[in-house]
Amino acid sequence: MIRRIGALLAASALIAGLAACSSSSGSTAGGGQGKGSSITIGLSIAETGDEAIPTLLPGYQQAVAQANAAGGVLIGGTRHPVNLVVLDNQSSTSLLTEQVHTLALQDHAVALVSGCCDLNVTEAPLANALKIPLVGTAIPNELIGKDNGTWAWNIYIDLFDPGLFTTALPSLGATNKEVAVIGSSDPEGEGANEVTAEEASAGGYKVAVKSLVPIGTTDFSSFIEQAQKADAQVLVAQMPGPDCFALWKQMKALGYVPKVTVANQCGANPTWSQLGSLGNGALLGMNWTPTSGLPDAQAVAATFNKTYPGDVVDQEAAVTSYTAMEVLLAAISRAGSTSAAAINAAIGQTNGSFPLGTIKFDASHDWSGSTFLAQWQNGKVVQVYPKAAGATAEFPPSGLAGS
Amino acid sequence: MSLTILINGILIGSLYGLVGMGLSLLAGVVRMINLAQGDVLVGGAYLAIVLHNRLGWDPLALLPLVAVIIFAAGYLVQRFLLNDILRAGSFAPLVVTFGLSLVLESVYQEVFGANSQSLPAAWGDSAVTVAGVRLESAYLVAFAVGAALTAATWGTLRYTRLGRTVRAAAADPGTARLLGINVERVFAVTFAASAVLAAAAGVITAVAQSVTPTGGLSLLLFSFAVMAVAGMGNVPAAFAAGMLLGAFQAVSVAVLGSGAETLAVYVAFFVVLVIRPSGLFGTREARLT
Repeated sequence: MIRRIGALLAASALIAGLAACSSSSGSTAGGGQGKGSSITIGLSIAETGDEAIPTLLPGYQQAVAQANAAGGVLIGGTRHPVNLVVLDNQSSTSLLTEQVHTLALQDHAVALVSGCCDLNVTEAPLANALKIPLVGTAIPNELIGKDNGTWAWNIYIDLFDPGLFTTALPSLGATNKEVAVIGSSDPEGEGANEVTAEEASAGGYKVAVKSLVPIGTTDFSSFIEQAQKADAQVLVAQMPGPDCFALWKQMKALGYVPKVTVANQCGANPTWSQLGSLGNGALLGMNWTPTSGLPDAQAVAATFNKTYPGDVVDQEAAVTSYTAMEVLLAAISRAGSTSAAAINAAIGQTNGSFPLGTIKFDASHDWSGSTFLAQWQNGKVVQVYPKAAGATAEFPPSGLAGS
Repeated sequence: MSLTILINGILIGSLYGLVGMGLSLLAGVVRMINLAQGDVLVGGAYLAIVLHNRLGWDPLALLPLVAVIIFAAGYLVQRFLLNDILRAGSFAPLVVTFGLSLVLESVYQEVFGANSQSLPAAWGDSAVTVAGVRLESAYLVAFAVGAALTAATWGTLRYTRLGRTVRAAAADPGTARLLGINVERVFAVTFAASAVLAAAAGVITAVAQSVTPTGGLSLLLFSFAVMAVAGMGNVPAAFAAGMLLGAFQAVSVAVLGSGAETLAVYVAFFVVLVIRPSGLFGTREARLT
């Protein structure tokens, strides 16, 4: 009996020892503490599903490839190759949750970069709980709350630029300032509706109709009727592509012709051009365009134009993720270690020039960069605010006219 | 709530009816639920998009071509895959069609990308006004196509030799075999017809709205609701049930707000299942009509 207990104890000690060795070696490899060992950066992204935005991936990969071509990221005088681990969360928050844990605990990622939009509302609190820095695109920190945003950093424009209603929209032409707002009934859509209402009010506009619809809604006739009755001349939609496609077609069929249409999220979709002339005039907020005049805009445009020829919305996504990765790699280098706290602190001290402009985070971990208003015109995205040379804004949008 | 919203709701429901009709037909004859029915719908839409890009034809003109191709594919799938699976019991086809659904979604994703795609057509975003009611052309087309296919399916089942064969195979496959009916072929034809109904709905969906690789699931769930309301195997009732659901949905949204659109369908589904499991138009025994 004593011999059996002794054997069990010995076996337990052996297993514990092996586990410790395994854990220790994982930490060294993943954490990048060994000389020249690779460091891991994790990305859980929706490559498939309703929220799919695979176009962020080339930007991240490009920045990592450039860093690795130079020998890796410089940490304390040693260059460490960067290993980007990419997992497809299929637009599922539960899969995202599982993957973030895997990336942080199993792959020992030193930091995360994000996918887009509504999924980031889930990812940011996870990063906070796991105490792992998360730099990403379209992390709506104002929706996450102060306590959940400690480890999340947003380098994309806020849900809406405060200048949208005060300067950008009025620059296009006069409206009766009655607004119809519609968003998906997910955290991002709900937040977007609230933020739009606040900013519209601050800009002297009145939200006449406000509606939240489940993702996958195909019949908007009730909303359209309300907007028509209220004579809402400004429409702001924050929805995925399929829902917006149905809304736009139904607006035209039912004769609703607002003077201004903002298609957030869905407008930033290259297949918007499949709407043909119907899609003309839809506005979307962007933080980069080839005509933005931002640092290296032409060089960066040339790089991503190879991947997405003539496709400005996908190029913008790639430039944004490219910048996010550059910000993170620069912070890791400045931190001089792969300690999560040191990297997080270094991200907070970012103050430098990147393809999206000079990036410096505010107290809520947001970056108030430049915002450009672009418009779909005959299958192309044209910067209309500030107006690019030679550009003319459609006002009202021709797509919905002639109903 | 205006009359326009109610009537457009009914017309949109005809699209649900078209999808549900295929599922109902298959359940009534083959006693099988095709969990890939939504993906067949999406496949029909993508096929039409590819053909439109190559031929430039109006989606309505493409419908017969899409129907022929989908019929052939559906026939082969049932004849050489699902008929064998059916012998393994009623659970096996569920698993296989679920797997088929996952495969199709991955293929669509790989070939067409994740973004939504739409079919351009003059009738996709236009409307006609009748007695002061503005009717969306796309859903009028859905109604017309749905009504025509319902009549064709019902007429075939009721008045043709093929229909009698199908009804015999549905009523008692064993006896039908003894009478010399090739039941496996009947099942294959039925599956193919069911796929054509879904594909037709897919083409119209791509024109009226848009499609994504994973968009079939919500329409599959809607078609379950249609089948639950109509009862299994009742083809005209499935079309009517779709329109009933569309009207119920429109009223629910008008009264309860936009958030009720999907909820309304599932509530109707649940209530009918609880109160009358055989469906509002169904009999205690599933019967093909």
